[in-house]
Amino acid sequence: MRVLLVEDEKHKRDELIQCVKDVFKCEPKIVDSVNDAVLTVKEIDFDIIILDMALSTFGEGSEDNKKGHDQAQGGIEVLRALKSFKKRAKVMIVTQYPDFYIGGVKVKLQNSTKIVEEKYNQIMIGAVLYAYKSKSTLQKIISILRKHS
Amino acid sequence: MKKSDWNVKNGKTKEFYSSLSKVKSINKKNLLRGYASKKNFKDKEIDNIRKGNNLHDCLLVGSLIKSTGGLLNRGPKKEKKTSKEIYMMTSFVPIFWREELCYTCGYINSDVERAFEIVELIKGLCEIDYLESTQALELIHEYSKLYGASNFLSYKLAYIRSARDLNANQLKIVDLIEDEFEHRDSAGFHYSALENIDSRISLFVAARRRISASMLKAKGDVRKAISTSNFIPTPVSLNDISGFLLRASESSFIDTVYAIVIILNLDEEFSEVKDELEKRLSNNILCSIKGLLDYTGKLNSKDIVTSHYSSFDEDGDPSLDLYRNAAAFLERKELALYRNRIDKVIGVRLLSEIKEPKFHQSKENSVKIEILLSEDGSVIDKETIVSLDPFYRTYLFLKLIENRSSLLSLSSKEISFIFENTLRLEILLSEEEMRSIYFTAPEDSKSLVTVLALALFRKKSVDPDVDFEFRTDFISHVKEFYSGSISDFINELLKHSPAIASYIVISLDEVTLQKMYGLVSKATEASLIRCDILKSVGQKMNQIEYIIEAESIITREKVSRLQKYFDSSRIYVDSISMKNWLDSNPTMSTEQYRSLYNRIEKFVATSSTSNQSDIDVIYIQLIDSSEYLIEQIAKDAFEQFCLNQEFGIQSYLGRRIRHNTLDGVTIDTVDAVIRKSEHRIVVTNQHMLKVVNSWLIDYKSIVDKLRREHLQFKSSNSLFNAVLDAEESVTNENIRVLKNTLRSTGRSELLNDLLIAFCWKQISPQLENAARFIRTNLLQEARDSIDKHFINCHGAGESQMVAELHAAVNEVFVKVSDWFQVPETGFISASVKDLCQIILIDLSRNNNIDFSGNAIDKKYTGISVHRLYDCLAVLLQNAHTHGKESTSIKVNVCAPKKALDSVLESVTINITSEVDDINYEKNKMRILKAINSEETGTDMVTEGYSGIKKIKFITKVSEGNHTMHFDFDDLTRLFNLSFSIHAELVTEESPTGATL
Repeated sequence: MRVLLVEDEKHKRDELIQCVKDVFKCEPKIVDSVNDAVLTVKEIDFDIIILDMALSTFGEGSEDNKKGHDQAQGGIEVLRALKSFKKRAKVMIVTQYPDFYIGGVKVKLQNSTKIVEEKYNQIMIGAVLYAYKSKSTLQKIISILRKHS
Repeated sequence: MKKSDWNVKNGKTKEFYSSLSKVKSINKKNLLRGYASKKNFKDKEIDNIRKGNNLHDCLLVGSLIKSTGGLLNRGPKKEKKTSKEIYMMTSFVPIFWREELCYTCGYINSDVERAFEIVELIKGLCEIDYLESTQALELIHEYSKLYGASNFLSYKLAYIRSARDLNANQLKIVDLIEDEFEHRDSAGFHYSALENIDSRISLFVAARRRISASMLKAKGDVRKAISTSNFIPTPVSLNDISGFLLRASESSFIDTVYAIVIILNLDEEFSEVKDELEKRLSNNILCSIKGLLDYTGKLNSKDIVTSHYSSFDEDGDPSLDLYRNAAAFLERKELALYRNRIDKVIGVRLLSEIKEPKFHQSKENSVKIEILLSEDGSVIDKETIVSLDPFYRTYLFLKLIENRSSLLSLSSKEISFIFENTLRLEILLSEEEMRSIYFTAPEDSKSLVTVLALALFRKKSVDPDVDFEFRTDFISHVKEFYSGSISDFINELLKHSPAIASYIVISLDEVTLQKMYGLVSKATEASLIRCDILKSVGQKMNQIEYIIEAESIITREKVSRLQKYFDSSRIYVDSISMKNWLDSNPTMSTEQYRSLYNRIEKFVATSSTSNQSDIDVIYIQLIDSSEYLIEQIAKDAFEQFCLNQEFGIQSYLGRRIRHNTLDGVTIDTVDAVIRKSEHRIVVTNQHMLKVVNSWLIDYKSIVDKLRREHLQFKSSNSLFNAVLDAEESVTNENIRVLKNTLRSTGRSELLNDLLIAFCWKQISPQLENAARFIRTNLLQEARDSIDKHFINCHGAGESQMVAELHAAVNEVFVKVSDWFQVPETGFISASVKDLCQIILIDLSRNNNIDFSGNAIDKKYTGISVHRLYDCLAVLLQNAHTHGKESTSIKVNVCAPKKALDSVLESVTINITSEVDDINYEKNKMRILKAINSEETGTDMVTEGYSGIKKIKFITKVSEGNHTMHFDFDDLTRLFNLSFSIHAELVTEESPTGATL
């Protein structure tokens, strides 16, 4: 199982890595910026992508230590890239915001899966409103991943 | 109306009841009877009266609602409108155009005598372009005394203000007119007319500002607000007639009559409306208006644009100038037609984000491609009163593509020609049109189209998905044909299509460059590419501004090395972005202030009145006006400081919340306590576990409340407020300091720098209040919550855990409150010595520098640090390169005592060095030549923006005149180079940037 985790926040990332390990018994490939995510999905085909929404353009490891522009809808850029490269993966959005913008239109997180599927031609397996250190959140994530293991 | 006619019954006149009795609908008649004694009306109640009437009743309703003594116009006095009354959104729903027209006619017919007066008034001002300025202003003043504010008079005044160079006495009359308008209560009203006409304000920038301000409130109706309606002062379709008339009747009686005048001037376009008007409008009034139109129809319209007007907009297009000025002369048929023709294409596109324009694709193309492709200056046709120029070509091109198939007939060369010889397509084209152009464009013009498409998305951001597609195509194109080098691509493009430069500058900003995945791998690379682009465009266009922007990126990077410590958890506004934004988005108040300041200077310099007291009075009046404008400017700037999506505090708060910092800090700290191994036994107790979980829910709700309510600007419980209250004492004091500082500098060049400093000072109490609230109220709430939940937990282990939870929440809220305590401005603060030291590192020189002077260690902040850096870099480089080996360089920094209440200080820096014998004369002559030369911006592009010329340029921009001095001593072979600059001081009470 090839899993990509796109997440820039350390605490959240650690929790999500653990979820992936618990379910798939493997380490996910981790990227922490829009730039890295776009280039990675271009190169590698993934079965599952766990995607955060708010991301910086460049990551922690960038040569100049600058994260660049803060993209509030950075996750959507990754979905655009997947569509543009004609790739299809199972995608789970994990974000802390109950709504975000798709194509300039505000969308409720719970309604986002259908819209993302149609707009970006991906297989949406879930959209989770993340809360830090919340058991129910983690259970929900694990349950979604299990269904697709 | 005689006084005896008034107050017959319920405060209503005989005429009111007489009209009421003629209403045919019984229901409507009863409704109106019921409302006759009512004092205040809800919008819906007026809408209920206005809608669903037959045309006969519409006429009567217009009179019953709007006439003097009508439902909305109580009192026997005739209306004298104020700016505030007009500068409001229309709150009623427009009805079908024929009904709205009858309603409007009913309003006008209700006071025939007054309608005649207005027709005479319009006639009196229709030739204002021929009147001498004082005479014209006095006439407007006389009318404003009688009628107060109206959009019509506001436009006439705006015309005189922008077309003529007014002297101090004439400005005094302008003030008197503004007083009659009650301008200061609602300055936006008159500024709306001014920004539409004045050549110092870009029409396109003004439109974007107004759109962002009224986007949500307008609800898809550009006529609701006068500020947006004024961008399209003529009706653009039959569907627009209702909104157009309602806007006018809600503004003033003058504007209502004027709207009818405009429609009658467009009679061929709106023949149905004209026919209906002829049936409904009182015959006498109609005859009077037609008489006016016979008169105005004969007036020459070509000369309304004055040379004074054009002098502020040297590169401006005559057709655009005429378009803007025509808005003040719509009583002249030729100008009304010209304006209307372009409004239908350009005007509606300017406001397309509020209301998407509908264009009807005609099979026949009315635009001849050969005209579109003609050279500037070509005659268009007999009817068109202007010759071809980029603005008119833009209009023709947009008209052409209303029929998409026309695009197919354009060759690559023709597309290039059109893009290079039109303007602002990035604002005017719709996304759909852009895609059509892209898909139909021949292959070899694709790169050109891509750049334009990207520019469009920078300006409009209509659909980010399409933006992504264009970026992807751009990346492939650059990879395939330019080995992945964006700079090579730009240079090649500029070689063949130099005029496309303006689009490149817009489209390839640093953010977009960062998003060129695979082409750009880090943020610094994006900055460097942006630098290269700006330099290439500057060279190609021969414009120093681009070179300066490029240099400022390099300076920003270099100065940022001073940023040893930068606590990014603290509140942060990107002041550099804000400065750029203020520079490129001047408000009407800013332009007014700048022009007034120039006039004050001119007045003081040239005043020859024998009576000193007269001079003093006029001077005080001018200063008074400028100070009032500063207040307006400060209000606008502060709003941006708080709410701007790019750099405002709101965006900072959003980032903090999005990026989990708030949750991380608040939850982690208490979680660490609960998970401690020594508390494991306590938590295994089921009862205790329940208590802990229940408390955690409560605690998280407190944090959630902070996030959702207190840290959101628009929430009623917000800790922040973006609106300035000038009456409030601290604000009042800050504005006073701002005014004093501006006065002490004696110029307006540093206005934007000072505004940013003002905003930081202004936000400080709010930040302190937020910090205090979090540290006290929220902390207390969290502590109370612990006490409440753990009330029965007295076991030894339990008590220990509760105590630690108390300590943890204390730590949490102190830490969060700390974010709001010492704000970062985004500017680096540094002394001249600090700056010298980082320059010397670049020069690989670390000794033989003598520092002296009373201000050597004084810390400065703001953009002035960048200016100081740039100037020092030049002089130290000079001294180092040409200085005699093993001799020291002396840096002396002096500042006199600063003016009271000023945040600025004039600092003078002297750099002395001994020059080696061989090169002494040569260097002396070189420096003298550079100091004495009078170069222009264009010279700087060709000869290089460097050396002493660069210092002259920088100091000239900030100080009005360059401050560079050169002394030399032939005996000792000492060079002394110095400059002075106003620099912003770091003060104890003012929030500052990172300091060394």
